[in-house]
Amino acid sequence: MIVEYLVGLGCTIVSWLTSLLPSWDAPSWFTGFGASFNGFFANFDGFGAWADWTLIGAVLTAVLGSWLAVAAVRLLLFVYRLLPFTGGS
Amino acid sequence: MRLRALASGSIVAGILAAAMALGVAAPADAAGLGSDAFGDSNLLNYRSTLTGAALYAQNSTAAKTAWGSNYVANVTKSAAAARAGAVYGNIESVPDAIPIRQMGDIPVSPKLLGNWKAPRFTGVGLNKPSGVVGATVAMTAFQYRADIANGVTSWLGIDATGAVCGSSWASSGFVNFITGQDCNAFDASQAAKDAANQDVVPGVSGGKVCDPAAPAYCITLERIATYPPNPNYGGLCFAETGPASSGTGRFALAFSDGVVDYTSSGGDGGQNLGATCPAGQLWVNGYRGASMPYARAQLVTRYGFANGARDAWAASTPVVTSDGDPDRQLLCTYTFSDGTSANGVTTSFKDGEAMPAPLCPVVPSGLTAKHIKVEEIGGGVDNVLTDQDAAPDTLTTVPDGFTANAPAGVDATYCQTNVCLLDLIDVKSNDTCFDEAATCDGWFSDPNRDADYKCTYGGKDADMQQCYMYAHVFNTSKRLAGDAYADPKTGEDVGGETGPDLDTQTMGNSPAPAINPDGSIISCLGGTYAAFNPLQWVLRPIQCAAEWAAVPRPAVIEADIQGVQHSWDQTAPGKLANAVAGWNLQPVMTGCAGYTWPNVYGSGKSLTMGNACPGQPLAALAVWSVRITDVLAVVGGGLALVRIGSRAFGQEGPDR
Repeated sequence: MIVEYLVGLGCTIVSWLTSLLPSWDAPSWFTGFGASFNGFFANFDGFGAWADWTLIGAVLTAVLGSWLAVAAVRLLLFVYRLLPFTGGS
Repeated sequence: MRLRALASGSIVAGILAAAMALGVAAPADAAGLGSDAFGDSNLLNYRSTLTGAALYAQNSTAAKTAWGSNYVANVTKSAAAARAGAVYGNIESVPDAIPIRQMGDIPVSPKLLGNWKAPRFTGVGLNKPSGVVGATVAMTAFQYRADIANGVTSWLGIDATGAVCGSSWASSGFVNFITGQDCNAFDASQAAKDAANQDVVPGVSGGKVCDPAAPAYCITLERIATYPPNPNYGGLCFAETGPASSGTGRFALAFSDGVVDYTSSGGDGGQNLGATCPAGQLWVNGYRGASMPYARAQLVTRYGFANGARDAWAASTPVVTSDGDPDRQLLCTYTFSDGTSANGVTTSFKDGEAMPAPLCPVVPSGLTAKHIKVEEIGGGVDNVLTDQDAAPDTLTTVPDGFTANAPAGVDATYCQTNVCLLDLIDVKSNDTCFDEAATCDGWFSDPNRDADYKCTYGGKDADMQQCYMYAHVFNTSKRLAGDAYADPKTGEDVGGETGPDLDTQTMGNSPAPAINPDGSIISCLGGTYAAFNPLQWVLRPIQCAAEWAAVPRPAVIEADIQGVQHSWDQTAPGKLANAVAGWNLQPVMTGCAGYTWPNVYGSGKSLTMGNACPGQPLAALAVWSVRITDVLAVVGGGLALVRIGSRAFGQEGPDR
């Protein structure tokens, strides 16, 4: 019960903090970007024999994912340095 | 905008409330169920009608909430609610969080702030605290751009929402995104009215009116044909009597915005825009030339036509009238036990507005209502909302099929003198789960469910399936996640939202007993007194207390995590992440036919490029292309990963 209470209290605080963030509804063009993206490449479906697009897609995904991961780590470090008594000034 | 949403929500709430009232009077079909109110296929109705009132009146607060919420959810399937739902779709939930823009209202002591001053936002330097604050302010302002713009433009007397949403070009494009206007509820009341009155057949309610300028000439408007795929068009079908027009008479249309226009009139029967006119009827189409939000064309007049030139418009006195939003009434008819019947009629109301409860007749003394029928009349239509045998709580005899579901010995007579509640009983304690919800947590997935629990109705054992509606009511994680509804026939999750306090009400204030993984209650004392074992006498209770205090129940932790996840999903970053996760970027490029350019520069010929299918000259070249691009992709990708990784650890390349 004690642990449940503490976990529940922590979750309540986190939920409250997240509730302070502004609400937002993604516009349709953003939510439908996947369909637009796939639809765009569907126009070039006939060029599938000229390259292994699956391999190229995997390589691009790996490179982009790695870059985003590094960027996320740097962002977290940046936020961490803003906190008093930690790494910030 | 919020007022529009509030007004829309109020209308829907009114309709739902009326639907509930209708459901109380005639629960079965008002809930969108079949006329076989007590058949095996209608367990939900059985539960609603038999247990509803008694459960609500006499069981615990939790039972009231559970039953009431389920009943509301079920009643919303009624014809009226479905009609409203088709118009409004999902109503946005009102956020209960404090918007960030109101955080300034939270008092903060000046001493706490010290000499801190608001940083100046220069628009650059986002790696500095001032930049972060400025960016946050800018993002917040952008988030509420519609509210800000509406406030400013309202001072100037400009309806910004109407300006954006009233235009099909602006309401669905980039302009709408930039301005942030919510066009979902724009003119929703008109949309509701237009959709709700789709059953109105023009010419029936209004009848036919002869043209005063040509008394011998009459027209009956038979059908209005709006054309949703292209809002610029409208049309109608009509029948005429009188002198033969011989090609000299033509007709004009008036659209919903009052504009009169004409393009063509047709002959006998045939395809009209949006409708096929029956044989023997004429048709006329109209091209508005601009978008008609809710086209409702109306034949207004006849004008002369000779030698390819149109004469001036004739008098615009409508020759045919029709009421697009007629008065409606609810007609409630009872058939009594002696075969006689009586009815009652409500006052008039408009479709699309709140529907009143049916005004059913008083049952004469000594008789019972055997059958009930509620119809929506008016506008030339007769919509049957419910047509069924009366619910058993208004009967003194057992209707056909009732005994197929009810426990033996339980019938309407029994329930008049006994408390008929549908209850889930914990066999171990022989107590209702409504008093020990924590003990019954997860009962539905209990492998020994049939042995550990029993379902009763009116205090008598009922088929376990009848309690499947409680599958998620006694499920902590489901309940805390606001998803306590279950299919009453299968126990499967049906989604939905419960009240926020359901968990507290159901769980009660008593501490939950310690539960073994197999679901049995831990005995903190049992067995240890059979033998002289002072160590166990002390250790076992302490162990129990420690477990109770320190070991969290997985379901509760899971529910907490789900709650955080739910909160996060409502935020802008959460929605952004979910939207990105839903992109499903999987372009498919597997063909070999290349690209075909049809009708090159209007030559009527097509040009195909890159055709590498087997047998084509480029097929062999495509094989080498695959090999080369594979090598380039692997080597290039590998080098890119090495560069990203090395720079992440501080290694900088020579080109930096």
